Amino acid sequence: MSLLSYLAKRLVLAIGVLIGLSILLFLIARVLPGDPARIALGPRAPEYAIENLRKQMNLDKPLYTQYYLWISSLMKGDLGISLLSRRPVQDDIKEYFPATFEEVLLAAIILSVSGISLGILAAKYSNTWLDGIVRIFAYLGIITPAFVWAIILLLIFGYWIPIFPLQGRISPGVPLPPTITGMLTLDSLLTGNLVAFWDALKHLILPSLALAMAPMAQAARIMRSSMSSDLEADHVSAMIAYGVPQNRILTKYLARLALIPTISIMSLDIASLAAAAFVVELVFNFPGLSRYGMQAILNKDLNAISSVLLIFGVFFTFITILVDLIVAYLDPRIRLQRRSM
Amino acid sequence: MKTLDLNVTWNSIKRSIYKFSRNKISVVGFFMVLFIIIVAIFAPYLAPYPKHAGAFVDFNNASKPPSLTYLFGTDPFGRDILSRVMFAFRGALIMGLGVIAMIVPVGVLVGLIAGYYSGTWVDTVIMRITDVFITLPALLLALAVAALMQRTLFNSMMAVAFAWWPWYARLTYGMASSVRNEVFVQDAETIGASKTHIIFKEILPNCLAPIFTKMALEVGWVILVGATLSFVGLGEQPPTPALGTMVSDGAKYLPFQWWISTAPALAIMFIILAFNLFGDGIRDMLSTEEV
Amino acid sequence: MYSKKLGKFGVILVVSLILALLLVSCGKAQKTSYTPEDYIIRTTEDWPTYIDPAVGNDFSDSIALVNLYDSLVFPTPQGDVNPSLAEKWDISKDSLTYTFTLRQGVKFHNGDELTAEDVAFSMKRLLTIGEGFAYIFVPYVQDCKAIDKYTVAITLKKPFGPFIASLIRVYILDKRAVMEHIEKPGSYGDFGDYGKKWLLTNDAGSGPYKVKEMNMVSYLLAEKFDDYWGGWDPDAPKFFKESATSEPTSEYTSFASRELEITDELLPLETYQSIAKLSGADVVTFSNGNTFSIMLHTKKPPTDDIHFRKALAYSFDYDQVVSKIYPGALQSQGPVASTTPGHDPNVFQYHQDLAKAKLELAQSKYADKLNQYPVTLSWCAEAPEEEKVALLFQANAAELGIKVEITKKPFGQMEADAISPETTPNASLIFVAPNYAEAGAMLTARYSSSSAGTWEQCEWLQNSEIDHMLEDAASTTDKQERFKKDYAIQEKIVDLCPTIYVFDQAERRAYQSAYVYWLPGEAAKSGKLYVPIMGYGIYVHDMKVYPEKRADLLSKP
Repeated sequence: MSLLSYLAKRLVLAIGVLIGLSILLFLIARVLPGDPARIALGPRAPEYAIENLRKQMNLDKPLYTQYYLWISSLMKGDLGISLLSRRPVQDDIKEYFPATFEEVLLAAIILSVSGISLGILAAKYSNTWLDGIVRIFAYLGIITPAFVWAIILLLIFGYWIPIFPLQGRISPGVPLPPTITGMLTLDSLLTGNLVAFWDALKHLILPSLALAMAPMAQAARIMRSSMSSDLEADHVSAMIAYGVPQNRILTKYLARLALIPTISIMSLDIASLAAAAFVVELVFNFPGLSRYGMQAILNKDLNAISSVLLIFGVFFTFITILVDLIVAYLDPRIRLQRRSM
Repeated sequence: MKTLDLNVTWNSIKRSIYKFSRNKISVVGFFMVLFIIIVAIFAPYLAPYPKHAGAFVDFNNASKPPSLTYLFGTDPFGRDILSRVMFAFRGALIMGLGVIAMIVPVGVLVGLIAGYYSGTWVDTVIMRITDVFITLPALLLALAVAALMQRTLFNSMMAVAFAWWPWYARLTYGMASSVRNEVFVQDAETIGASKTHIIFKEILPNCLAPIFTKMALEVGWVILVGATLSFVGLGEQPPTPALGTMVSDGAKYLPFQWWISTAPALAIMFIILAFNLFGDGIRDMLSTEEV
Repeated sequence: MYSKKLGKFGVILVVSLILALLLVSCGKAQKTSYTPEDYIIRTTEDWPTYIDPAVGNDFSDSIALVNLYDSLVFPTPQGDVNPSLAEKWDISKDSLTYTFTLRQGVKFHNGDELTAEDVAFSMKRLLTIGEGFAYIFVPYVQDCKAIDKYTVAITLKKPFGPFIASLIRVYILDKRAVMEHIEKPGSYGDFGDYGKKWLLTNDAGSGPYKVKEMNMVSYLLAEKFDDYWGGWDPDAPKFFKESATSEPTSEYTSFASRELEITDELLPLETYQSIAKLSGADVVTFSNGNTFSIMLHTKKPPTDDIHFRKALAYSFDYDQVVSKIYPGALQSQGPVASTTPGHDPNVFQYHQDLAKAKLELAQSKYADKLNQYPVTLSWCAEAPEEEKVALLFQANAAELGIKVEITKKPFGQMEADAISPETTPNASLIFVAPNYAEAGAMLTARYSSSSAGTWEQCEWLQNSEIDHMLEDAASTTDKQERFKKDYAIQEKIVDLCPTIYVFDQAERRAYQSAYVYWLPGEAAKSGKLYVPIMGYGIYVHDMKVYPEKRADLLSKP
């Protein structure tokens, strides 16, 4: 089947899955905690106001009606009012999503570039001390949870070598760029505000690094192991015999091939970056969507919880589809299979 | 592939053990896991100050750095960190093993059913349901569910199990649905074997290897998710020690009282490393069983 | 082009390293630059914060209200009040009518002039909405009317001795501004929502600072109101920011990088000790009339049994708390702090006595069923030191065989739990402040039936005899008489043992003494007694900040 119809099929499936996810989240939010109206109005509200809100929130109607009403307001872009910030959830999301997006993007870049490079380096110098170091680092990276990395980085760069800021997105007093995308780094670059760009980037580094460490190690490890196992293969020996330079073999042939399993795993890891961000943003007091989500979860802010989780669900689904497409493109077997049809 | 005889012979066990022990690192992993289990079970006897893991405070000795009396130092409540870490192994193991024990039967059963009825509506429905669950990373779903319930270890386990089971269903389904169409299964059906027999005696044994591998490898990750949950305050409540909680409590005192977070963080890494190495070994051992 | 040794990836690594170095060097340049933001006082406190005068009533709310709004009178650190918006007042012979003459020419932040209409409106609004500090006034205020442009008369239903002192908690809003922003339909008929939604993030005040940015999740930023009637010292701060308290590590870092001027009072002891080592920093403690208590739910088993409660009170190690956990604090003697006027110096004080504790426990109906009746306890997540008290309590109770289940909760959650008797735990660890400088303020806030269901009373006492005694004392206009009655109330309450009185708070804060002038800090350093009522300790108008000194500190290594 062609790439396009593959894409179409995946998208349809994705929509179905997201609907299912929304049902799941809706049920969780309605079934588990206590009275949503009481929780929404907060501790000081009188009884009659709560009754009113209960009617307003349609809590007296059957579950499927409630679900339908919720979904239709979702479609219109109305995600409800957040308990914590007392304003529409969509405003909160607009404010916080770009921060986490920047952070995850930077983390993804760091982990893919470094992970792949380290893997290739280790494969090239396999069985030397460099390889040993990379492998130890890989193991350490994998077994260390993101929040421990966050604390380690906090120690190193906060106290021993204080060069990076430890919290927030930007230093006070730095002129902010106008909001184009909401991403401080991009906006400041687009408007030529270099001071803000560097400052915002510095604030991003520690959280992104904390997120990137474990997946980076994972990527390096997989890259290295699939490449080095291939190194033994016959076709590689043939290429060496033919006199193909070693670097070409590494980058053009082996790396490409090794990328396939690596990217599949990396995609899972990138998707879970946003999950790890929940705790990392807490440690670094970084005002992103994950920290907002974490606070919502701890404070039982139902509207915010369901909206944030739904957004992450959408985000992950698209990442998965995107990665599947990339893999489909990269894997000659799938590509050729496609062409022959 | 032929039907695996579940009546494992002494010889086949000896063979597996031999294969496992060929890989030195996995053996190290095995002993590490053993160490963890022993410490967890015998904590009251092994820990230097077993009382410190319960309702105990001693502010005269609060926040003391590591010394000969307190190998990992004391926390702000005057409790010996080493002893508490040893007791915390219990919660970690219960989380890891307990969750796996819960989700494997459920997930595998669901996967088997979906696999047996592969191609029919049963299959589609079940698989779409699991699709919904895996849209979100397990940690997120577990976080959300655990936070909305009361804060206990059991509820955290339930939350993690709730988020994790679909992966086993999918794994099992993947294999069950292909095995289902093998010749020997068709033969069994033709003879008139009951569904139960086919599912459990024909299909299941051929799926076991990857399931065991996954189980062994995943105990570590489940423990990691458990630690993350307790890091944000879910799971066991004080005074019961939990590794994640100890790390997050200690984070307040960085960098001056650095030891409060260090020991539990290292313990987490140790446990995950142990199960990773062990799991790698199991995987290698089981995969070479194949023809 | 690629060097043989490094290869493609080596080049990438080197380039990244260079970029990293650039980042670092760009950073250093920032810190010593001089921006107008330097004329700012930043502090942290518990969160969420409600800046609506009819809604706010806890610490962070009070700090905001005190700076954004004015009241008729203003508290002095010695415990009485000075005229503020009211220049003088007359009290009728029957003590039921108070007539205030207002200061003229006072401007609101939007330019409107403050008149008697605004005072009447504010009082009526507070009473109608009924939240926040309303509970102080609802039992007593009959009506509030503007007699002419600058004269306002408040009539009471019955005499209320501390009335003038309590008026610090009626903050005056601009009627016109609020009415412009009411939303209909709302719960208050013609008044719609009474402007509640708008006042979540805006102010309608005349105080020295006005709201510049209010982010309900994390901070309030206020800027100087140049036309403030009280005038300005040239070194007064131009901005004031109150943010949600965060991890001790982040607070330490903010303080060390001079981005925080005054810390909150909730940090762990170790953090204050670390901050004290920084140059230009001072850690001060001062009494604030607040008390820290373990509130026992008198209507939920097993704490509904008086012997059980007394057993707990005898089992608790008070000395450990004041010597190790909160050094500088004094063990409480009864519900009222010893620095509050009206405190009974003879009221019974518990001390740890396990023998007595066991005796009491034996008389309780739960004595042999301890396993079935655990004591649930909540402590406030924003104050990490409370965990120490919680664990101490748990350890002490364990010696009697009593099981305590501890939960850490954000303050907002504790507030929510306090609303209904089913959700309130058996024990709650809470700091409470008197809202005006008298024992009666504390006693009413804590034990009158009207405060049950709020965070200030998690005991659900609902004792009609106490209610009568409280009302009686409050309506006594003679101070000495009033205090005598307050004494009786304190004694009766301690007999009922609804609470374990832990300590009178010695508020501990760190502040940047090198470049900030802060009265409570100065007083504490020179040993003078200075007891600010909740919120008034951070009255920014009277502070001074010196940006050049701050820049000096930052340029040092």
